[in-house]
Amino acid sequence: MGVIRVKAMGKVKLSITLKNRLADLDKIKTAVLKLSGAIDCTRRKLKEIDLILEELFANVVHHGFKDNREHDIDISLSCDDGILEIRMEDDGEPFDITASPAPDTRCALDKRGIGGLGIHFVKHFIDDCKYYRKKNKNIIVLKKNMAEKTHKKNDSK
Amino acid sequence: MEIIQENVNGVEIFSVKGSLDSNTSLEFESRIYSTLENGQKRLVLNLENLEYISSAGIRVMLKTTKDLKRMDGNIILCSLQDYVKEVFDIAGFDGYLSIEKNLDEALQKI
Repeated sequence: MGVIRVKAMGKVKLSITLKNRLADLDKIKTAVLKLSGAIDCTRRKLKEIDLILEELFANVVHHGFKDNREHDIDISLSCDDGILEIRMEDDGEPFDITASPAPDTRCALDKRGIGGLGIHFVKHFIDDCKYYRKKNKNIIVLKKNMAEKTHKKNDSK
Repeated sequence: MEIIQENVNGVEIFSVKGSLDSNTSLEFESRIYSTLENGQKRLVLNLENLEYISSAGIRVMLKTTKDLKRMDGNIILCSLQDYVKEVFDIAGFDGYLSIEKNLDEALQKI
């Protein structure tokens, strides 16, 4: 399901194609495990990557498609010089992640919904975010610096 | 994910191990709600061995907190790992939920 290529020292590319069903989440978990074997990063960073990919994928599965048909969701991960690039393509309803409003995390409990929380997590854990709509496809390109900055104490977690 | 469930002096303790993601959270929700249906209204979630949580797991905890508040019950979380605690903080959940350092303190305050 996944293709992994180690192009040169420090350069890694991994591509997976998922269907729009939550059961395919396991393929993301497997891909992150493969990534962990190919690049030098902490378990903490891997959890963040896991979270970013799960939230992007779950969001498109839950909200991306109005029909009941099967759709492909393509995810590629490439790491070069300590920068991880995550690219996701789907042919779902237009969704501009960069325009998605942040949830109100300080309102009263009774009024607090869960909408937008997953995308809020994605934005928190990435360093750059771009969105394109091309040929009826959503294309999201995210960049994450893999160098450890403020979480050194969590390396073992 | 594994859930070990025990009742100590009328408090239902859920010890959750592994990952609460978009798939496993469904079973977690079902376990919690069958407990609530049995009339149990005081819950402690021991998250000492919870390695990973996504918005799906957070959603279950938010829903449970709201429902227990309506039922005049209570829920306390304890022993969060650093990653899980940060995800709660980013979600803004630190203001809604009672979080204690360890199980003993959670059982004292529930």
